[in-house]
Amino acid sequence: MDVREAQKIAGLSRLSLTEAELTRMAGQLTAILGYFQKLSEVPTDGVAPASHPADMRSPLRPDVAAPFVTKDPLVQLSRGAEGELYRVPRVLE
Amino acid sequence: MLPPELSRSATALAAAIRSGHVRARDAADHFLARIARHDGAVHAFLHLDPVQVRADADAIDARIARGDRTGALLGVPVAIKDNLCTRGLPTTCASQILVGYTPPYDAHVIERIKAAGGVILGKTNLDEFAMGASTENSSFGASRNPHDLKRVPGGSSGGSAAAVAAGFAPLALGSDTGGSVRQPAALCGIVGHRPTYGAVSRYGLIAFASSLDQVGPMALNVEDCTLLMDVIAGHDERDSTSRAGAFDGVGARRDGALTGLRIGVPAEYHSDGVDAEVRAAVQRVEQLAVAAGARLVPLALPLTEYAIPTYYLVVTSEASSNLARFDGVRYGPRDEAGDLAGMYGATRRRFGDEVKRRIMLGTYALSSGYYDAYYKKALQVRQRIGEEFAKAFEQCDLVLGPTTPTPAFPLGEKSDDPVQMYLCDVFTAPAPLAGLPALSIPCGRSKSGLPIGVQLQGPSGADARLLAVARALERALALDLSPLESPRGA
Amino acid sequence: MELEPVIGLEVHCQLATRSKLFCRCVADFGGTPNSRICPVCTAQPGALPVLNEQALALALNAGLALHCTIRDQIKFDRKNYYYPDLPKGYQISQFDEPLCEWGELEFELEKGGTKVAKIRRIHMEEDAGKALHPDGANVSLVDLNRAGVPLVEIVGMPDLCSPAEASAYLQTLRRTLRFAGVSECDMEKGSLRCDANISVRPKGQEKLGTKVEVKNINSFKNVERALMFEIARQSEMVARGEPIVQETRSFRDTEGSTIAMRKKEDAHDYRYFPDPDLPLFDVGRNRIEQARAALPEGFVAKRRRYQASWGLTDYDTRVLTEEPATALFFESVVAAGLSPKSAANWIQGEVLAFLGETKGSTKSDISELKITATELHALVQMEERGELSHQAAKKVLRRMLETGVDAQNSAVALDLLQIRDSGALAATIDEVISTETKVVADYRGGKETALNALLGRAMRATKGKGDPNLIRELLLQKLGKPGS
Ligand SMILES: [Zn+2]
Repeated sequence: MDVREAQKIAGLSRLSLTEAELTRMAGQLTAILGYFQKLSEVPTDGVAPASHPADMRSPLRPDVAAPFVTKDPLVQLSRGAEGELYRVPRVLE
Repeated sequence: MLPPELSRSATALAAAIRSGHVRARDAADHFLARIARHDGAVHAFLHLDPVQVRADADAIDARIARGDRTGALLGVPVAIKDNLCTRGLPTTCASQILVGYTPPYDAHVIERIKAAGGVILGKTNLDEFAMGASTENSSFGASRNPHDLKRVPGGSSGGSAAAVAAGFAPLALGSDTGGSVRQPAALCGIVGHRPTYGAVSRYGLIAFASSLDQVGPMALNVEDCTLLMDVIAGHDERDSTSRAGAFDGVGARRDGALTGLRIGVPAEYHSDGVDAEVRAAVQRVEQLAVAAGARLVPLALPLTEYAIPTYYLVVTSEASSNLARFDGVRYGPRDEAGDLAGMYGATRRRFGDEVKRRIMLGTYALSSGYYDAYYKKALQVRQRIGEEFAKAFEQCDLVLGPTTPTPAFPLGEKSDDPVQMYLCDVFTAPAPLAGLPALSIPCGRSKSGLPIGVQLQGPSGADARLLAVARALERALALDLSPLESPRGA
Repeated sequence: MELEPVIGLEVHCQLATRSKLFCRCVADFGGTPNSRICPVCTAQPGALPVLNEQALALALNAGLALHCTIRDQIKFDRKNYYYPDLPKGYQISQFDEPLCEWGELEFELEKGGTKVAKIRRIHMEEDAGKALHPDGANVSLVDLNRAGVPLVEIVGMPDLCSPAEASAYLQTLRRTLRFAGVSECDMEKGSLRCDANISVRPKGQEKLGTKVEVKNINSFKNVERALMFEIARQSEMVARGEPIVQETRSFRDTEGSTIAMRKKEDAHDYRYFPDPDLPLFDVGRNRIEQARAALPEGFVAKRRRYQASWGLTDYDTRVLTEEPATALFFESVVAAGLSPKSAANWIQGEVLAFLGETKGSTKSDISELKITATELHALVQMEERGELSHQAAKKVLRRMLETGVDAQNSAVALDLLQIRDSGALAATIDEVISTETKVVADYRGGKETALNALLGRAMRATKGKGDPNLIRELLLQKLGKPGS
C-alpha cells in the first residue's frame, strides 16, 4: 500500500492523518497485508463465506412501539445539542 | 478485612453475606481498601466511585435486613471491563473518543448482575476498544501484571484480570473477541471463560467485531467463574445473535467430568513456537487428566496457523464499520475544525494508533477491488476453520492446549510491532472464528513465578462441560488460587 | 435525429408499521424533533438491531403484490458512508440478495390499453434522519425521528418511454401498494419518494444513452415536470453534440428544472458487507405462501369483481377503487345489506362529495368518516320504507356525516320524517280541496294532471314531510277518478 492509497483509505475512514503518519501507516499496513497473504495458501474454491458462526438465525421482533424512557433527553449527550436538535457544521445539500 | 477464605472465593463471600455473617458493606470496604492501597501500581481501574459502591452495598444490606436474601451474587462486588455500558457510570473503552461519555442504559449483563444482587465495583482498563493483547493500547496508560509489575497483564481485558489477580475484586467481566478474556486470565493466573457465541447477550457491549465479541466471566477459580456465568448467560431479545436455551449451571458443577473424557491434543499446539515452560505445564495437565480417567486423542488442526490472518481480516473489517459511529455528532467529545469533514477528522484523531491502524486495514479489506481477495477470502477460511473444528469434535470431547505461547511479556516488548502482538492470539483466535466456547485456567508457574494458563476448547454450546472439566482439572492441579497479598516486582 | 427517452424509477416507500425497522421507537410521520429516538436508532455504543416482523411481512406483501420472486432466506448488509443524519455511519440495507426480485407492474396508458413494466428488485432498508439547513446559518440541525424507519426500495427496470408513462406507472404502483397495505405512499409525508433514472437515445437504437439520476422529486405532478425538463435538456445537448455526463441531479420545484448535485468526495465506495449483528433470516416457504393467501385483494381484482359479480359500471368501479378505504367502506356497506348499485350511488354521490367539500379533495380519507356502514344502510332503509323522501335522506346523510349522529335521530333532529298518519294528512287534504276549487274543478272535468298540482300543494302544506304516495292515495279516495 502506497501513501496515495493510504490517503484514500484514510479519507473513506474519515481519519485525518498527517503526511508522516500516512507514510508510517502505509509501511505498517503493507507489512501486515504481506503477512495476511499467507491465506492464499488455503484452498477455498466453492467454500461459502462464513460471516457468522455456523447455523445462526436472526429472530423477529413483534411490531410493538415502546418509547425509550430516560431522565435526560438523549440529545443532551451531544456536545452539539441545540434545543431538541443535533447541531453540526453546515452540510451541503 | 475479610478473612482469607472469603477473599479468595466469591461463592463463599456471597454465602456469608446471605447468611448475615458478613455485611455487603464490609466486603465493599475490603476491596475498596485494597484498590486504594495497590491500584496505583497496577492501574486496573479506569473509573471507580467508592461513594456509590458503598451506597450500593448499603442498599444490599438494607435489603437483607428486610429479609430479602435473593440473588446469586448478593453483595458481591464485580469489576466491569470498560467496554460494557453502565448507566450513570462513565464508559470509555479506554479511548479519548469516549472521554466523558456516560451511557443512557445498562448492558444486558449489567442488568443481570444488578438483578442478582451484585455490586458494580468500577470499570477496568483495556486496550482501546479491546484492540490489543497487553492493555498498552489504553489511552489512559497500561495496566500492569500484579505478578510482575514490569510485565503486561495481557489484554484486552487486562484491567479485569489484574483486578481479580490482585484481590481488588472477587469477580470481573471481560470481553473476548480473539482471546481477550483467556489470554489475560492466563497471564494473570486466574480463570477466564469465553462463552459460546450468543450464550451471553452482547447488548451494551461496545462492539469491536460483532460476529466474534462475547462477554465472559473472570474469577480466581472455576467455581466462581461458573457462579458469574450462571448470572450473565441466557437469552436476550435485544441481541439478534443471542441463543435460545439456558446455561446448564448444574452440569457445570458436576464432579467426575474427566472420567472417560476424550481430550483432543493437536500437534500444532506443541510447536517450537511455544515456550518450553508453557509446554511442560500443559503436558503435566494432560498427565493429570489421564490419571483421572481421561483419554488423549492426537489431533491435527492444520489450519491453526491461518487463524491469525483470518481473524485480523474479519475483525478489522467489522471494526472499521462498528467504529464509524464515533463522529462527535451525538455523544462523546467533539473537536470542531471548520466544516463537517474537519469535525469528523479532528474528532476521530482521538483514536489511538492501533485503532486507526485497524480501521484502515478493515476499510481497505472491504473496499472496492479488495473485498474478494481479503474480506471474502477470510470468511471462506473461517468457514473451513469451523469445519476443521467440527471434524475434530467428532473424535474428541474437547481440545486442550496452551492458552498463550509464552507467559506475560515485559511492557513495551511488542508494542512497536503489530504483527508480533497479533501472534499472541495464535491459540485463542481460532475458537471465536467458529463461535466456540473456550476457557483458560491456571496450570502452573514459570521458574520466575509467572502464571501459565491451559486452554480448553469445546464444541458449540459445551460451556457447562468445559467448566465441569476445568473444575476437575483445577482440583487435580491443586494450585494455590488465592489472590496476591500485594503486587510484586515494583 | 429523433430521440426517445428511457426512464426507470427507484421508489422508496415507508412500510406502514407501528415501530421502526430495528428498534421499538414509533415510526409515524411527525413528532417533535428527536422525540422518537432510543439507544439503537441514535447508535449509542453497544446498542443492537432486532428486525421488526411486520416490516418483513409488509415488504413481502409488496413483493407478492408486484408478482416478484421471493427469497426464502435473506440477509442484511451494511452500506457504509458518513453523513450526520446517518447515526451508525452505515445504513442497514440489502445489497446482493434482496427479499424480492423480478416482478412486474401493469398500468394503463393514456392512449388506451396497458403496458407491463418490470420490477428489478425490492429490498428492505432503514431510513436516515433529517438534516435541516436553517437559512443564513452556517450550521445544519439533525432530527433523528426518521432514522431507522422501515423502507422498501422498489427498483424498476428502464421500461418507461415517456413522462406520462412514468407518471402512470408511479400512480399505479402507489395504488397497488396502498391496496396491499404496504405503505401509505404519501409523498407529502415522505412515505413515498421517487428518484428517476433517465437517458435519451436515437429512436431504434438498442444501446442505452448515458444515464442521469434525478433526485428530490417531491410530488406526483413533479415527476412529469422533472422528466420533461431532463429529456429536453439531454436532447438539446445531443443536438449540440455535447456528451451527457453520468451524474446525479436535483429537481428544483420553483424553477421546474434540475441541477447537478455536488459530487460526494469518495466516489461511492460503500463497502457493503453482511451485517455481523444480523445473522441470516429464514423467511420460509410457509410464511411466503401464507402471505400470498392472505394478501389483500388488489384494485384490479376488485374492479373485475365489482363489474362481474355486482354489475357496476366501469366508471363506478374506478371511483370506488381509487382508494383502499373507499373500497373497504363500499364493501362493508354491501355486506351490511345494501344493494351494490345503491351503495355505489350513495358513496359516490353523497359521501365522496362530502369528503371533497370538507377536505378539498375527493382523496380525503374515507376511513375518517363519522358514520358506519350499518348506519348508511339504516338510512337507505328508512327511505325505502317511505319514512324519508330521497331529498330528505340526502339531507339526513349530510347531517350524519357532519355529526356522527345515527340516521333515525338525525332525521328527527332535522324534522324530516314523513307524515304517514292518514288522519293528520286528511285534514290538510280537505283544506287543499276546499281552497283549490279551480284545480279540483279541472280534475273533475277530466284533466288528470291536475292531481299533481293538488299533490304539490298538499306537500307544500306539510312542508315536504307528507308521504307523497299516501297523499296521492287520499286525494284519489276523496276525488275519485278524473272526470267522475
Ligand atoms: Zn429507536
